[in-house]
Amino acid sequence: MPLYEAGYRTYAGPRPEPRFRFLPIIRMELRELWRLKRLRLPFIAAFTPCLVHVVLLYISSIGQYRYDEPLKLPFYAKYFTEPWNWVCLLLVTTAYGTALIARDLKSNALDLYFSRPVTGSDYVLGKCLALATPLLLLTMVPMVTIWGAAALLEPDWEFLGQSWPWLPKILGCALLVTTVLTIPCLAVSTLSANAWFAGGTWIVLFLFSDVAANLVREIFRHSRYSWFGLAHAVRQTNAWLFDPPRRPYQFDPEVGAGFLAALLVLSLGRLWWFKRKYV
Amino acid sequence: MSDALLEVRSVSKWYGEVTALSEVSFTLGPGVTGLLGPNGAGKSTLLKLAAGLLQPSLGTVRLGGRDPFGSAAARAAIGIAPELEGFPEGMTGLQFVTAMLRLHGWRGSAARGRARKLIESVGLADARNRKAEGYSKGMRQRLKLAQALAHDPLFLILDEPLNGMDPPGRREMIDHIRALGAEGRTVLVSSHVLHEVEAMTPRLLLLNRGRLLAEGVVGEIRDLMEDRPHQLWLRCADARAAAARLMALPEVEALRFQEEGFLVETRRPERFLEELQARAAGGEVAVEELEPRDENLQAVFDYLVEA
Amino acid sequence: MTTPAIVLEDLTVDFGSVRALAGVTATIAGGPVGLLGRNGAGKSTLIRTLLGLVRPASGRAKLYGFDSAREPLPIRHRIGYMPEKDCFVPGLSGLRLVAFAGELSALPPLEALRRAHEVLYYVGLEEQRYRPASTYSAGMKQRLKLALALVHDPPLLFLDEPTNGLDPRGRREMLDLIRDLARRGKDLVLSTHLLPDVEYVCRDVLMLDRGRTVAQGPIRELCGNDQTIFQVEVRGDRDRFRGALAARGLSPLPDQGGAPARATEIALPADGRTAVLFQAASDAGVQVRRLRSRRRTLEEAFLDLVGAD
Repeated sequence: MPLYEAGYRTYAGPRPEPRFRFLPIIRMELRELWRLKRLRLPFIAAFTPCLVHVVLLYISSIGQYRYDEPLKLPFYAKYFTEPWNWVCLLLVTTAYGTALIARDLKSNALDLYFSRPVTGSDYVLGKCLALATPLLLLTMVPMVTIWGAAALLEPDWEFLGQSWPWLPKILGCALLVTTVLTIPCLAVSTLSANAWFAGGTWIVLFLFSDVAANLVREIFRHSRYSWFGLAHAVRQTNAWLFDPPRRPYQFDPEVGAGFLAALLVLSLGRLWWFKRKYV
Repeated sequence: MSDALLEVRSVSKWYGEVTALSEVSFTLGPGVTGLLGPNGAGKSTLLKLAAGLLQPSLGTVRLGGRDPFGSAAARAAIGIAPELEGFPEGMTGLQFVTAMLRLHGWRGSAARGRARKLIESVGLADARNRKAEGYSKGMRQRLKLAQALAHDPLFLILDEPLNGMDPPGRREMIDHIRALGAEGRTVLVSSHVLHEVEAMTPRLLLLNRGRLLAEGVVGEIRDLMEDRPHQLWLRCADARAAAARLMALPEVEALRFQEEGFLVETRRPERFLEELQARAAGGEVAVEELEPRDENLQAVFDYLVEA
Repeated sequence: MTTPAIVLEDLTVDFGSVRALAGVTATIAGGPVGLLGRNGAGKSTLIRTLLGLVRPASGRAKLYGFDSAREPLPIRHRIGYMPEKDCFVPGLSGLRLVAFAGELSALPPLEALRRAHEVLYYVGLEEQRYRPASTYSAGMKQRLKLALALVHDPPLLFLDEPTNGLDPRGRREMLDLIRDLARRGKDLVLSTHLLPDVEYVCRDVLMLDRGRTVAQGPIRELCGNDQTIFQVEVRGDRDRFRGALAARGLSPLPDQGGAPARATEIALPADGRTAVLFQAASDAGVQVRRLRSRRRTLEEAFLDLVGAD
């Protein structure tokens, strides 16, 4: 009968070359997000309008009152930029997203990451996907649920057959919103080791653009100049890409899309500059 | 003269229900004394009490006959270099020391001149006009010492003064602290690095779990520990034969082969050494190396703390 | 035989306008090496270069044959780095943290978790492993960092000030752990300012100063072990002892700063026996307390080589 070594044991197990080195980062962040009770509120709040819509659909299917908003494409194109949902997205990105990198900067956890076989790109990509996943969930799941409820509660399959091609468009909207929020949020997160500062900066940028855009709209009584509002640009671009020829605002959709593209390029540049320090 | 005496009498201190110190009494005079103990033993509490930052729950603390708590006059005679660092933002080293001097009453060019001298005396002359936040760890330690010495205090309380310094810096700091003790100041140094405390002073206070375990000089403390046999390590030309001969001595309680020689345990080291000397002189045992293994601070510390 | 652990070939590294390492050439074969140097001598630059975080301006740093500038990832698989500062992801328990580190080092998730348990048990943190790392005491944090360095069982460990903040017992336990790892065949580089730690653990040292190699080799050689000169400490009248030595034809060396305070140094002829020292002591009525051949401490060797300016 062998006596087993009580002290240090070497590792003789498998060391497979991982396909994506950033997967552990995503797993860890999502697991921590799940454990963090304070973030459950914004998530639940984000699903509340979805529930409301489903209930209304149900009522309309059994009663006199006709609720047919969710049967039209524009409903989905502007779903996220509705104030309630937009604020929920703001909360999630502020509470969760801005701390993702700032926290590591403060606690010097980067020494841990970069003494491992993980590159700077892996790190940034991992964090991006860790933020994008819940955001995508928050955007896609409610919409698909409402659409599904609408399709199921209709008396015939006509709606389903007609709105089937909407699904890719819904996905497209969700992706657009997710991307536009994830990348700048992470770029802001790299700015400071102080998570409060990063969060504050993000809120200010986020709200400032919208508040100022609304102000401009009020002052000029038209929306030709309000393309720099984040919500405005997103809504206009969503409509342009997925539901032409609607135009909720009066500025050229290309301008709005250009603004979003510029924002993305700037953020990507910042993230690239950040990751350059770590091989 | 009672001016330079730090007297602690039956001091106990607790925070709520937790006892930090229990019935601690000692008197320190001029010179350097080391304060040792495991983490959580109550050292920082004791240092704060001595510095007048806390009041004891029971008992008295007196520096030069005065209670440091709440007495600015008493505190004017105390210099503290705490473990943590907090330098005001934006100040250079020189400005910081000058500001400390102003707090103690120096003014104008006298303050600046003295600050300059202090900065030079701790070896920061080259860096005096750089911002204190940018200092390396070792430089900060020196700056803390300069600040503690600003008002020429009679009592100095230093918490881990060598932390983060490189070997030449440590050597300088040790020499500087010894010099301060030799000047007649009462210096209390708390450190975990035992061989450095040994280099500064033979006088110690050993705390464990809020109690004072030992006070005095290493050798004396060791001698008081009668229940522990002394350990002497020997390397001889023919180890086995020599060990066999020495084992015959009644003073030898145990003998164990270790490294290239053997360890002898005895409760009567004087007698054993006499016998050894006789045999070595007579040629029966060829001693190449003789080393008392547990008369150092590390061994004494281990014995006292683990008990 | 096998590839040496670390090979530095004329390594030059710049930090902006400061030349942190200037043409360092050294080979570290394996068995525990102390990396010594003053603050700013280039030690942390060296480890950062090896990890691939800094590109050399010229020259090469190789670990087990992998070039740090071109293949940093294989190097990071093979190094366990224990940094001086804490590096914990906030909010994670000790166990989660070590398992995460294992996953980052390409261990499958379940294996990483199992290995995390094992390693935490080895460093002595098994009772605290479920608690958040931020609640750990200084000693526990140091052990946790060691566990992080060990989780992927790397062949080389780089330990930066491992006994920082530890009380005397914690220091000894940590050094014993490190010695145990060295004994089990791990290559080890220990970077610290506490020279007695290096003497306890390491066989060789590499000394840097201002970005250059100042000394490299076994501690024994560096400290010298002058077999013919003995240091004797006696209890009793030293002058009488010196007189007795003279009477027997030996001349004690004049007191220098190098020898310990109460020691007398005597040179014996090449095949001399120490018996004569004991005889002289008995003549003088003093008692020999300590006897050994002259050697410098590592600190003395360091100060001589590097100097204090």
